[in-house]
Amino acid sequence: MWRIWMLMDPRKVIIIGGALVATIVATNHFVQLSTKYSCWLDGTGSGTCLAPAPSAARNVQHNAPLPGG
Amino acid sequence: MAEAKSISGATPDEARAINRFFWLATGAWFFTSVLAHYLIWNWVPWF
Repeated sequence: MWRIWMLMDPRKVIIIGGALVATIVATNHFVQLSTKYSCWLDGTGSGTCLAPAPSAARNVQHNAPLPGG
Repeated sequence: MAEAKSISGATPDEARAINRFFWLATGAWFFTSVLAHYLIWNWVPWF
């Protein structure tokens, strides 16, 4: 694998790769912030704005049941 | 014949050193990410 650095300039990889990763990570954080389950900025303290998390997230019906029961 | 220059201009030794740094940085990134997800799971489990 080390031969890759004889083909690709590490400085360009760091700058372009860094910008790409930063964009993806920023997008993820804003998506998380937009949900009611993880809006860590609102409220008086961290997490005080959260919607009451279901007791067991596993048994919560998120969408319509499948046809045919 | 002088050593052929690589496309990026790095010598084999430099390429090996860069690769070592690459894997160190990638490992640090994964460790931090796993730690962050563990902490967040303890705060708000998402499943």
